[in-house]
Amino acid sequence: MIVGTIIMITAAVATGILFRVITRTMYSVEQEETIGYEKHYAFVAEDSDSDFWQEVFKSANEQAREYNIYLEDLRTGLGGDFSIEELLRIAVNSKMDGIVYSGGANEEVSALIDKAADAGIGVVVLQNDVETSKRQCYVGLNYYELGQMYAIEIDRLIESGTTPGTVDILVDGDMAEGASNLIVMAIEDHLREKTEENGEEVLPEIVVTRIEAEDIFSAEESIRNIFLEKENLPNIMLCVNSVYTRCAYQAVVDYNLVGQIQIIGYFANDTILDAVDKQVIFSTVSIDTDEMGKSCIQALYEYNSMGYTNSYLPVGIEVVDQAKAHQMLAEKTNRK
Amino acid sequence: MTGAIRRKWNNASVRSKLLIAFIIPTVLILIVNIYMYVSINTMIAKVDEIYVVNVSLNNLSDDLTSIQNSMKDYLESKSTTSLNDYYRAEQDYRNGLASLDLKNSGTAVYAMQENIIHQSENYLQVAGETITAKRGRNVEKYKASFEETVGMYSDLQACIYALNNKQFKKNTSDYSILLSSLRSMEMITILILFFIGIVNVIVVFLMTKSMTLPLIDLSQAANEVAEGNFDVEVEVTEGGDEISVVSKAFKQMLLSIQKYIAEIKDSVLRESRLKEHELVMENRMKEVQLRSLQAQINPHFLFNTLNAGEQLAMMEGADKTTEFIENMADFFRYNIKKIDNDASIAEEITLVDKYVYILNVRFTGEIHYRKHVDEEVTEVRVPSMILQPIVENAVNYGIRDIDWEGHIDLNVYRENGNVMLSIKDNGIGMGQEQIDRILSGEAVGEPSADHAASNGIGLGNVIERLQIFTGRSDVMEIFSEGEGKGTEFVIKVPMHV
Repeated sequence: MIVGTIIMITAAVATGILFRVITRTMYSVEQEETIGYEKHYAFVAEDSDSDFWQEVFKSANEQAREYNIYLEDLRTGLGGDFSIEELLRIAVNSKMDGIVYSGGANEEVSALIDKAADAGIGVVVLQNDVETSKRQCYVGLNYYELGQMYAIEIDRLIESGTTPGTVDILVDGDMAEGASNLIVMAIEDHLREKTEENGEEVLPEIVVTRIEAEDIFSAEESIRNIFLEKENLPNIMLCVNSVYTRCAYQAVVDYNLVGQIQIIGYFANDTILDAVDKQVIFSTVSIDTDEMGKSCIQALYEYNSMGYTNSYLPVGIEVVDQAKAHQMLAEKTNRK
Repeated sequence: MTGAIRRKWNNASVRSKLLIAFIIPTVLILIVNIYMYVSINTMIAKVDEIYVVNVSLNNLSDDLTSIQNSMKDYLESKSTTSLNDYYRAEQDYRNGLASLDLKNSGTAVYAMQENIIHQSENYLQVAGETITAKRGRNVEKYKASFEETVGMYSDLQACIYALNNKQFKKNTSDYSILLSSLRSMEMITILILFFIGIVNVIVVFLMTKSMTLPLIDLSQAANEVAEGNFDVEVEVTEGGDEISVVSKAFKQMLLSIQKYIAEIKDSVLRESRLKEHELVMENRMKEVQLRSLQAQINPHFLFNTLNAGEQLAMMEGADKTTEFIENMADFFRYNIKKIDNDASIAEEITLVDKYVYILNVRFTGEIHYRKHVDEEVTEVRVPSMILQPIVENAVNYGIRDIDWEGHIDLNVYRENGNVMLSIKDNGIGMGQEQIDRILSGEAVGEPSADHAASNGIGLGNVIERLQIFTGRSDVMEIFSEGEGKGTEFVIKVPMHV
């Protein structure tokens, strides 16, 4: 009788515990842990969904975590279709501790940056500088250096037998005019030097096409339009944007103009590297996104803690040709 | 402790045991049920809580809209109602904002909440400034401020919407998980109840088995008894429940039955022995009758002849001859008449008298016969023909061939409630061995067939009939002091048989 009672009670308790364990295991609705942070920075980028900005955000976020900073990608977080100005306004009104901005450089943006600066919010601008604002720091390319790199590549193209003809440089509509001028100037300077050295006229006609981002698909359409005007096709196409590079690459394939139009790209994601490897894109300029991401956070952190920071931090760039692209792809495959 | 419980259990009544055996599992199942019921209810409560945050955020959004609308209305109409609405909405909004607690919902959500709080502070500040400017009729200022609030309002709504959406997505996934968990739990609950039920049934089965096992043993024992086997072993369990009591009683009953059976067997045995005795007696009687019948021709013929002789003697006037023949006739008549009946001692003595008379006529008075009889016992009944064969034996083997005068003494007397019939001669006597053989029935002293004075009944027959008649073994004693010293036969018969 005693044994029987003990067995029954044991069975009941055991099933109770089992039931508890099972229900605990099943009801595992994730309770996300809220990590306390010291500072709250906003990441406001025009095209934050693109691979390029994703990489920048990733490294910036890593750096922010090291400083116990929460970096919020506003566009991704809010969803919906917000203009860059709206996002910037939200960042400013949310009294963030710092803002990383990348986008157009119009008056509204400038005013918002000024408002932020007045409210003691540090603003770091990436890639396209908003020179007229009170931004604390600009982290970006040296466009003259970029131009020189492009010039070397153009040189290599010409040496390999490509007719110089027309060089079309595709730049953002938002890009400051100074920046695009620097690129053109650098190319012209280099090619002129080359001409002087060789005594041979290699100066191509340089055209700058500003792609106005009126809406999200306008870039692709604008690039397609270039290909449709068959009599004015450029011989060499320089893309100063990762999206333009991909658009140009796709158009060259679609219009069967591989080899006829040489593309020199921008950024080195898998698609672009693959295209370089296959020589649909002649070469590409790789921007050190890791350096860009880390630098912007470091600058903001410095500004928060010291009250000042460098007003310009350059980002390293390098050319990726076929051999390099092949090697990079192989490395990535091995890593996987 | 365990021993005490076990003792209590053993002593408990069957009803109490059954009650305990059913109450314990029932209570356990009840507890398990309640526990699972509470757990499931807690889970359902969690499901209810899931969308609470969304409701709060919706309210917040509504309050914000109220602020914006009432402010706009106030700017348009400057009505007190609008202003009151504005203040009320502002208060509601602030309260809603304060009660928003998303600290445990992850860093991203928390950051969004912080953004909303900060934007709200800015917005409410600008809205307040707008109201103040309106009151101060600073048209430029309130127009500009209102424009600013419009942007901030849409930003705030967007942020609240984004947060609401994010939470909603998370909650929907939580809800799905909870819902599927609930469904699985339902199944688990059934399985657990099933399991507990089976365990309980097994345990109750074992518990009741311990109770009913003695009962089953008892019923098997009862069946065997019913089939006639009384040598069954009944296990008596320890304890004081009804089954134990019944087992003990049954065992006792069995022992009693066995005892009664033994007694009945004994009495049947005795009865059959008695019947056997009767049969033996009858056989002996038959034997005597047979012998009598064999001898019947002689006695009858003799009897008739003797009667004729007696009459002849009377006619001739020969008195002695008449007496002799009369005695002879009486002797043989007694023989024929009395053989299968009992007789009184007096009749037996008369027969001996006649026998001795006949012998003395025959042997010319050689036998000196004396008798001493207690007359009070002469009516005591004894088997017939017991004295004459002994006297015949005393004559034939005792005094027939002696050279001295032969005496035969018959004594009838009482001793210790018995009637003693003693026939004593002074003949050749006998050794102890012969005495023993006669008493044990080996040497029965059969009468010789050719002997003229024999009626054909031996000593063995006499002893046997006496034993059957009295139901005792010590019916005769024989005393002899040795050769030439004579022999005494003493018959011992109870006064009342």
